[in-house]
Amino acid sequence: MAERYLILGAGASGLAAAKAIREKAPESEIYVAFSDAHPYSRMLTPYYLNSEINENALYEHNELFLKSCNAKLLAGRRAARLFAEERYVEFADGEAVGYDKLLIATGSTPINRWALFERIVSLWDFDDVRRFKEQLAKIDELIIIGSGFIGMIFANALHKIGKKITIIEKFDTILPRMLPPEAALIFEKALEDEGVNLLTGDAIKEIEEAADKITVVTSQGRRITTDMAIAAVGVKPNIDFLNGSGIKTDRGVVVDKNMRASDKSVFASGDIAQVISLNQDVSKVYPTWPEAVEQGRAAGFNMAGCDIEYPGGLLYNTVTFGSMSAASFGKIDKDTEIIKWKDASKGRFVQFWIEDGKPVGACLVGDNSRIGMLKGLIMQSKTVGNRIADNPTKFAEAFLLSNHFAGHEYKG
Amino acid sequence: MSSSYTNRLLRVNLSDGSIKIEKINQDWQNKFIGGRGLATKYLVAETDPKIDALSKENKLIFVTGPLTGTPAPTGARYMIVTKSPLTGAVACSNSGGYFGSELKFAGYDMIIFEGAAEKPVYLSIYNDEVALKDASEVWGKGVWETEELLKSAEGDSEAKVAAIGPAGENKVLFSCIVNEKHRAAGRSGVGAVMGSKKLKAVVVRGTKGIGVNNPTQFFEDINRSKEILKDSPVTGKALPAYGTAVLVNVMNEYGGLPAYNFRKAQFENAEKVSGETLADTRLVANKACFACTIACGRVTKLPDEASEQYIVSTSSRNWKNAGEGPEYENTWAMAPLCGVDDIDALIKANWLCNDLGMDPISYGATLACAMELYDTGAIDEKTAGMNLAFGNAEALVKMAYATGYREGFGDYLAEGAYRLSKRFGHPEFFMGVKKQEFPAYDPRSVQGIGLAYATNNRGADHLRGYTIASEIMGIPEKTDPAATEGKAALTKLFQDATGVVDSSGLCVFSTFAIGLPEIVPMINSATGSNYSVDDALKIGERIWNMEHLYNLEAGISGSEDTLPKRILEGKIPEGPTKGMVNRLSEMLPEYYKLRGWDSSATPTEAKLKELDL
Amino acid sequence: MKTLRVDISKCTACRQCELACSWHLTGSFNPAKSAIKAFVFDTIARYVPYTCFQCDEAWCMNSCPVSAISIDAKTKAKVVDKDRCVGCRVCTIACPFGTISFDSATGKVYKCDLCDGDPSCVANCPTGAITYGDVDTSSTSRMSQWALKLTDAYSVKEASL
Repeated sequence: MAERYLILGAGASGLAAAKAIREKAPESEIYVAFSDAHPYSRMLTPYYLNSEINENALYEHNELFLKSCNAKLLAGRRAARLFAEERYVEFADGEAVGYDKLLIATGSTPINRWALFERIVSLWDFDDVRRFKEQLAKIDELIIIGSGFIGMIFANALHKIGKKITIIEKFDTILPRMLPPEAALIFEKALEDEGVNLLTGDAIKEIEEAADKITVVTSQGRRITTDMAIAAVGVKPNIDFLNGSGIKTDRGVVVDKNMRASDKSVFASGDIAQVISLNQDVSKVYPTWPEAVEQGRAAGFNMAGCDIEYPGGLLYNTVTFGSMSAASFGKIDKDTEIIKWKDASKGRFVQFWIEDGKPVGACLVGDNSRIGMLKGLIMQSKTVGNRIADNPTKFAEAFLLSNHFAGHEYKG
Repeated sequence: MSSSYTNRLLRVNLSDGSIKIEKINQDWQNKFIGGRGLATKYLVAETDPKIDALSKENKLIFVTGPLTGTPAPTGARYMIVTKSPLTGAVACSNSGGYFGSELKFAGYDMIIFEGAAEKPVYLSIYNDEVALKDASEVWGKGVWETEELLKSAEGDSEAKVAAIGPAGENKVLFSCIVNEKHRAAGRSGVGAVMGSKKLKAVVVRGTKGIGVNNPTQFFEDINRSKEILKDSPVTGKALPAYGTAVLVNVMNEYGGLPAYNFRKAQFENAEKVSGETLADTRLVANKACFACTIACGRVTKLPDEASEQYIVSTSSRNWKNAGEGPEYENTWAMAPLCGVDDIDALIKANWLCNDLGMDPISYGATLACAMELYDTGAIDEKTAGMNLAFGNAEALVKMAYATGYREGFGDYLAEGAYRLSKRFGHPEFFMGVKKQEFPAYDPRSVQGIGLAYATNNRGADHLRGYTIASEIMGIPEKTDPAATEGKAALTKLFQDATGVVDSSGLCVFSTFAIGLPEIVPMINSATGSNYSVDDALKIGERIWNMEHLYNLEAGISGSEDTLPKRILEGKIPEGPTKGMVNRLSEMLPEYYKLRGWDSSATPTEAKLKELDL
Repeated sequence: MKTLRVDISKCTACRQCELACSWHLTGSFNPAKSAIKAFVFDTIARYVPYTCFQCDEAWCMNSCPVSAISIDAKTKAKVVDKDRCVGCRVCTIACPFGTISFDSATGKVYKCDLCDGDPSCVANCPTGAITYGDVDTSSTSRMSQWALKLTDAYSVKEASL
């Protein structure tokens, strides 16, 4: 009998896993269960929100993709309980599905302390987004709570269609987990030039909701009245349904280098998984799209019987607002050596975090071609410190030399 | 409609710091095509030929041609047009590399610099973002270090930099403007003009791109030219293999390689510095300019032991890296002309010229003149600061440094051979025309080039009328170098045709294989113009006359269309061309006649009318 | 499968490849928008044409949320469908070789697509530094070799493959 693979979640991670499994186990059964009516790419919801793409485009890719993997879709199935020893999952509707191998890729949910307020939403589930879109014509002004990647992507989408945006961020500068303050300030200036009202180093103290407006009172005593607010203050892995299952969780589902959870038939990947970092020094969750893809792929191969070591988690992402963009990769702590280049007037900033001559983190503000090389430099852990030290904007040259593309071994 | 012209020029006033974008004068563009022709028209229209070249009244023009930045083979060239401080004549100095194409991609055909800055500045161009910035951090530094520092300051390793070195800052009269560290707008002291304006560099980056008027036709035209270039033994084989230095042995064997300040026409040790020797022993790669399918550039490296010799300073100059050159002209001027046969000293002196920003032809020629002064006792070791005997390789390297910084005797060398020879009482030792030193072909044994030297508008020069192609290489047809018959017509033809090439943005080396019948169609399909070959030749003639008129007004009369006594009367002492002199008088009158000039070299009214000048 | 192969000893940094590629991708001569670039390392006299080597792992394709990148049936190149691309740029940070980039003028990404089997850079390279041929031959380019090395991280140790 063919192996049965059950994947919970049809996001980036679940899809990547399905494809990997199909590649290595052509005769197997693959089931993909998801709680919405359609499988869709959450990353695309902002583009749907401001009508850059239509509703179909949201799940077209996922449906076709899963079809080409010959996966059976279990729509509208929210996982309620896992029976690991017996190897089956019970869904909220009471149905149970058994498996030979399970992938938990149910992702995360946004943290929303203000869920009781009607006018404060977190645009996570598609239904929430659709409802919000239907009201868009009546919405002129918005507050975005939180200036992380998700807050920014919605801010950008709504700004593009003429909404007046206020962003509240409790840290002193925006994108605190992506950009060091100096870089963030360049990004902030671009936002302000575009007419965004930026309130950094401030937090919500009180909310007053009226019939058709909402007023936010901040710790610093500001009062902002708008039509709606979007909560984008972070996400937490959906591990609640694993209570009592015996699967080891911490902040997320703890997995090993093969993406395997504490039960040998159970794997986890994406926003819900807790992995060892690329530097092998911490265990944490990396809730970004490209990580979800990589983890799902590694998990899928391993579920299908391969022995692939996932290299380790890297926090990397890219964010755009208007004509300004930024990308950051890896470890951006204070404690390592830093090499940077800045020209605020040009809106450009490049910084590397170096340990023992090897880049462990990098961030870049402003448009740049070949930025993927920053990922490559960090992943390969090449000793390129010297070359970058002279001029960190010459990372492409450093990349080529360190990879012997120039037919010449660069000796640091 | 699309065109490979951007039709925009940047006008930068260094005195008041203003920067304006203007539309290129379309009438002038039609009459002069672009490049040398167009920029000279601007110079003629906007400046008084009598001004002091190093005053703020002079203008410094960077100009590209319509084919610069396109895939037309050799479409890399840009020109610097200004009044020369060396000659007082019009200067049009040509360079390759990547700077010209980048300027086009940023959206400009031309930059005109006016006035002078109070403090050192550089111009930064990133598409429409143009600004004058403080250059105090790089003033005083060599070209190579300047380029690295400015690219770093701008945070763009893909920016292209044209800069002067200490030589330009010190207004060495033959200093030049260097881009990509080793490509130079070399002759006539254009670097000194830039230095007099306290303009250290231009940094440009362009991401706009350019189009062409008729893409289908354009690709057909350029592909045909690319095929011809590939099949030609010169552009397809000899130049990529040996660079222009292939000519060392060729000219030496013929008896036309001037040595020891033109005392001789052959060098007994030519082998040691020939293109073949360079390729066999020092070459590590050959390099191309933008869009060039020839790739004549020499990239060389010194052997370890040589890198320790003749150290001139502990500056960041690094003899251990690869560098470019030497080419034929540099090799000739700094080796055979000076009697030097040390190839490593030659390489170093050439790199010094590149880094300090100095014309190696004029430098070598001036040093050779100094060596003859030394040899005859007109100067001694005390005056010179060291032994300046012919053949002294150490002097070649050390004096290059001294000249760039105008230190000691270098301060005199920095004035060029004409002023040097006069200063020490021997003007007859100056080997050149109109105060510019001869290039690497002995006019006594090659008659036509002698006429070209005598009449070229920017002084003694080979590139503005390269009759050598015909007289030595047989391109397009072989003529007898020793004969004067037909040379007037030949010289005029080369001069006029070259005016077109210099205005197109292509490199003259393309003309070793292709000619106006191939070049003119490329201009047409790129821009939508409709020139015939005859139209183009007329434009070339127009450019020639315009430059000549400027010179006349600048006070350079027809009496300066002459050659030194040693060339007219000093017979070649030995070798296959023994006994030869240049018989200018057999060619010049006919040349004036063909040009439509009177005997004082003034264009007649009829000629001016014909050319619409 | 055929792929681009580069012999850096032949490259003269003439950048005709950049002109050809940018023409193919954008309809203008604009090296800044070329998928291939001839990097110049002047002090060591090395000139290196560099572009996507159509690696097996295809991080760009895997990371795209709208399936805008797919494998061309004929050439096996990973090709961007500009109509599907929404400009989210995730592929540009997923590719560890940096061979896919974002063009702010168009709002889309671009990469080498092997020109439908007749690469323009190959046709316009005057020295034959870039050729188009089988990847398994002994003249495999350095790029391909290195690409295989990195994808080792994901290579399968199981014999069944």
